[in-house]
Amino acid sequence: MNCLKFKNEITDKIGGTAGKLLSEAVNAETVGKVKEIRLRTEKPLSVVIDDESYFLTANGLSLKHTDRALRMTANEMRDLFLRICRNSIYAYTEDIRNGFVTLSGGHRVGICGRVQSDGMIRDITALNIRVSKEIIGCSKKVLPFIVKSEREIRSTLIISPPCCGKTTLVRDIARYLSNGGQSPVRFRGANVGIIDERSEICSCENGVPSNDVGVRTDVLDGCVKEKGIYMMIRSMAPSVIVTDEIGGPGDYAAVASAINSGIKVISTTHGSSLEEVRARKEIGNMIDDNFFERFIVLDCSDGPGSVRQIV
Amino acid sequence: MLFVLKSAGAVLIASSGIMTGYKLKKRLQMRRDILAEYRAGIEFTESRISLDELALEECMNECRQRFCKEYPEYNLFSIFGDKLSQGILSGEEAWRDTVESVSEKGLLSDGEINLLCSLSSTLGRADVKHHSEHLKTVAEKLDLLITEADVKLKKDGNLFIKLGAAASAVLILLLW
Repeated sequence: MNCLKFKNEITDKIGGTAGKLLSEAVNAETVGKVKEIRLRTEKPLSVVIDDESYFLTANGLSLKHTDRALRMTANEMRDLFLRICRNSIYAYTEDIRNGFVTLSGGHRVGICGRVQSDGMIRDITALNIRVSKEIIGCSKKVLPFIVKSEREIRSTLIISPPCCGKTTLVRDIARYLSNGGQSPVRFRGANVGIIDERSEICSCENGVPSNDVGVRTDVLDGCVKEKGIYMMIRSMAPSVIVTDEIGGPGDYAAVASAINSGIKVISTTHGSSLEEVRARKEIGNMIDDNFFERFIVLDCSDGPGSVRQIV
Repeated sequence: MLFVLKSAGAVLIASSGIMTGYKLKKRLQMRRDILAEYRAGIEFTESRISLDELALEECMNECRQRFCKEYPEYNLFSIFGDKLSQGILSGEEAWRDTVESVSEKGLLSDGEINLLCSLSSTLGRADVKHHSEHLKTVAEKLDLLITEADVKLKKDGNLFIKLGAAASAVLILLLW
């Protein structure tokens, strides 16, 4: 992430005084460390940088919560939400019902407000912009443990607490497996199918990935994982299926179907250790039934993406 | 020599009168054509939104390539699309600005301007069903306006040319 990308994809979308102050406050040194931007009606705008929450003022970012911190009015929140939805709320109905919208560049915007009986969220009172980061090459340290040979890989589960880089890592793994390469480990390249339920891995715009997920990759964007895995198996003949955050009801059968079809699965799940994850029903059954040959545990000990354990 | 000058003057006056009448007829025709383009564009937008839930900006990009191409300064879709892509104004503000910019040219009546402006309350803010209903309603009302414009063109179009010719003839007689 550089300042220009940050401006084009985020602060220009925020617009107004908030957007202007934010683009001035974030510089080349801090832009790569911005994790979240939180906007709440009549509350100070906050920016999370390196796990620290700062408040935006006319003079820049401040750790202290002061009266000078910029606050968003209800009208500004409404206008911002309209801009985020490109003045076409009807085109984002499904996303809004799921509680988030994805900006171009892959930044997910969580939405809070009044939920109606049809599931639509109105009277938006809070938005949380999670800044997406594509780090090409971040999977180099783990690829030697995933790739078995030139043509073979191991089904792998990446275990990580929130905001520790698991999606960034799985994206780069998909890219490398799709493209193939010589370094850090030789691999010929394979057909990769990504089921991107929350549009975070590929950040698709009109179905086309904004992130680099490889030349041999097919993407089912916004598709429920369980259904997407079956669709991918039936129609796209992938060698590898990549998906994010498995462990929900129905995922066991879907992953079993893939494994039984000879397809390798690379996925992620929330957790801080293998033992913790094994105790959960669906994912525990997948581990006990040897769906996965490799487990990679991440944490933030040395920044997001730190590998704590490989099993 | 005087006769030649007078004749030349008469021809000039006659052609000016007829051209003025013709221009007025063309203006009526232009108004009818533009209303027809608006109607077609609004109908197209309705179908793209209700069938594909296409975002407004994309709808306008498709519309600008299909409609009002002969009248770019009246191309609501192109002007609206440009304002949306700048990302500064809301959809409502952008549409109102767009209609205002077209109304300043004085071709459309107040009723037509108000009808087009009414879309600002819906565009981008409502769900698919409301978009579809509102756009269809406006398209139907534009239909009636186009029919009226057609009648006026047929009735008054040739009349303007004749009036232009008659006025020229009177002027020629007076000056001769």
